[in-house]
Amino acid sequence: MNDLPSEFDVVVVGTGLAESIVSAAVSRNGHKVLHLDPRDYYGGKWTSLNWSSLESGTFAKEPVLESETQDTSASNSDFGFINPIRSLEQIWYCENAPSKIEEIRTLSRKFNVDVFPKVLLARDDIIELLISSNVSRYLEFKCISKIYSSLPAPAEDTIEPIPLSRSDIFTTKSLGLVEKRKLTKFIESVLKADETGGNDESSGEIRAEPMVAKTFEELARAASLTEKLQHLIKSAVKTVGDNFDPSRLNAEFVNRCRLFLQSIGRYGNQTPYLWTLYGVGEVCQAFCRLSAIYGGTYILKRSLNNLKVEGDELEVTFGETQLKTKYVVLGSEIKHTPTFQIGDTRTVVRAILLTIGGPIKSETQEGAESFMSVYKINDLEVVELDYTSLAVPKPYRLVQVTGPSVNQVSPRAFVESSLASFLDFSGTSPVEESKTVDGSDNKGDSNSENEASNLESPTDESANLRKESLSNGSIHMKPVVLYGTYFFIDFYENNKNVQGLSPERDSKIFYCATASTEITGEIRRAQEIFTSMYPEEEFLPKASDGSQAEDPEDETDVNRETANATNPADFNDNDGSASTPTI
Amino acid sequence: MAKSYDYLFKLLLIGDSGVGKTCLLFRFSEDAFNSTFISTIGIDFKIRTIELDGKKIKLQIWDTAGQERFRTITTAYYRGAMGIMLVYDITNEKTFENIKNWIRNIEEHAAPDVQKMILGNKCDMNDKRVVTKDRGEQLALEYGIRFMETSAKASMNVEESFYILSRDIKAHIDKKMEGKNTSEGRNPPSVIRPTPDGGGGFKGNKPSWFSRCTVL
Repeated sequence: MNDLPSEFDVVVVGTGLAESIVSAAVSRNGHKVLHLDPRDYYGGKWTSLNWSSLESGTFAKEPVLESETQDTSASNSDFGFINPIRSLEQIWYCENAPSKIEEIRTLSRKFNVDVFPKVLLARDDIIELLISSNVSRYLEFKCISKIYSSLPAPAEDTIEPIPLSRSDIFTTKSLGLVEKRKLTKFIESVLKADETGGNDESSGEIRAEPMVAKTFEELARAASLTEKLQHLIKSAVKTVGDNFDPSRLNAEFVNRCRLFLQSIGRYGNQTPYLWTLYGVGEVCQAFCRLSAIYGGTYILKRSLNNLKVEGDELEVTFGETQLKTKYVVLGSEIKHTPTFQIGDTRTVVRAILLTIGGPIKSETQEGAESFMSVYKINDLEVVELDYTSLAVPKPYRLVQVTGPSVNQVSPRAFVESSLASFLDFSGTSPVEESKTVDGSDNKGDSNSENEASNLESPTDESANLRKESLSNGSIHMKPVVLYGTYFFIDFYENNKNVQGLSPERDSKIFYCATASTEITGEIRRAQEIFTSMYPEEEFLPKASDGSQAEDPEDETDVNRETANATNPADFNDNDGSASTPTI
Repeated sequence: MAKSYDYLFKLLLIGDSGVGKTCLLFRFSEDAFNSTFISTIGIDFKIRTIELDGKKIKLQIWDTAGQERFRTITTAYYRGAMGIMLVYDITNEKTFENIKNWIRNIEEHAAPDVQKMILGNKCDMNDKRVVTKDRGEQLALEYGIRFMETSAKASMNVEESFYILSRDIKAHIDKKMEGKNTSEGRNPPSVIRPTPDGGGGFKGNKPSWFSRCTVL
């Protein structure tokens, strides 16, 4: 690669979250960074794809490197790829409606589909980091408007809103009077236990002792919470990949409860959750931009071929380029064969569903549809996005499903059976109802009996099945799933006790891979790597306003709400016309 | 808080390395020029407020952060852009040829209705010119977009080009607003930019867990 400097301080391979944060932190402090990614897009498994990229399934395959300069099949390479995505299965449920499929494909650019979606608590570590580093200037969020939970068995097919405020608790019909008082008391004790203070609610008439060291079970007993309340609290706060054991000491869980509650309202949000506009892939790109602003060099479709220790430095090659660097940081898709061995692994099941026909849970008042909602259905976290998320065009909804791994069942079979009460997988779009389903199975491998029976069911019958009586007597149709992509994602750690690894080499090559499925885990990993390389330096201090010519209005601008409400031309239009996100 | 502008436009500069994107940006925002070439480091965006038809228009003009060098501009760069300046160097054939590639890039990642303009920069260096003005005009005509030759160094047409692009955006928006149906039921959630608490945030009706407690 011509005109590339021959020496760098750090070479980062992969543009996933941890890698991008490391790159930004290092570059920000004046060190020279070369940032590569074997793929032709940013983000690795944290990327957001348009429709054609999603459908092509290339995100689940090995990356294709720039062929002129790099022999992808170089057998003498020290490096290889590890694909975290397994068992990909993609299916059009509305195969009988080719015009619909065509229409969706032409809208490709209006999709920003997260491979691993994340709703963020308004007080999550990532939000704090974005603020403290000033990377927040590149990102925008919207709040999730509702959180629902399925009820404990035997009512697991019923979903109800999780009450998030005193008035929610007061008005909800799903809790009895005694339960309401107990829940209120529990929430207050969790909040009051925060000895560090910091929140502006200071009525303070109830004084509870600090409960950080208590288990959830103890707390639940102390507050004599009913089974239903415990279930609601757990499903509200629990995240996918959480090994939450209520009988064990779980300060983290209690802290999470508090973070959850304190996140409500931080930015005027009714729920604690924020959604990153255009998808979570934007977060990686924002850190990469900061790195580039401070001089980081970016090249995609490139990975390292070889690595040699040369005294105090590493000599690395990619293609015909050879350069020296002090450190190499590898993303979770990259392995340096001599120093890598898969260690602890956590697997998550994923489904990306495109639906039509309204939200899973409709509110009773006519026309009052929720925009973005989170459903905790048994162990699954279901994020339902509409056009306001800028991840999916009108009138479709994107239903992003994440859950703990399941054994011996395909992701598709598992998700279809778990969500059968809430979504219609029969493929009959309300628009195409007059057409009959083609009974002949031409959908490729169908290993689930569930699917086979769906295919055979006549149209009218399945339409009837979709009808579900609401308490107020109105008829609610289940949303129809038009398309689904299913897969597993593995999160693993590098097993560091690799034999024959010399110590100086060990401290020069870092792996971003972590078994944590949380963004906080990525931040911690990035911080660890940064501190190992530059122990004396501050991690991501606030970046000066890149515009040098200070913009005093930016401080007031941050509250876009007021600006937007009155200013039709503000580029962050909040009128929700996703068809014109720019204006 | 009183707003000091009526419109806020996000503009982008795009084109090969070394065509003078950052120089154009500096000339327009600070009326300054620096001839020593340094690849773009440390410039995120610049702000300048202009006036059109009695309206104050705040222009937020973003630079590429050097990510154009190996064609690794993030898709995020294009988000929300309302106008794009495509810049080539009249003394460098390759940068002119690449305009087509950049347009393809824009078509893939920017909003379909983004306003575009082609600038042939460094027109003060006529003795080294390899791309004629005619060819520039022809290319712009092909895509149905505006064209101008500029010089950041000699301060030629820089003001004019940004004003023209801004005027096009404003006209486009005004037209769009006219045909807009404002009564669309419930208001969708509004955009949030994370700030520390108290940093000009939601001081008023903050719906925290305790706030709506009047009923209890």
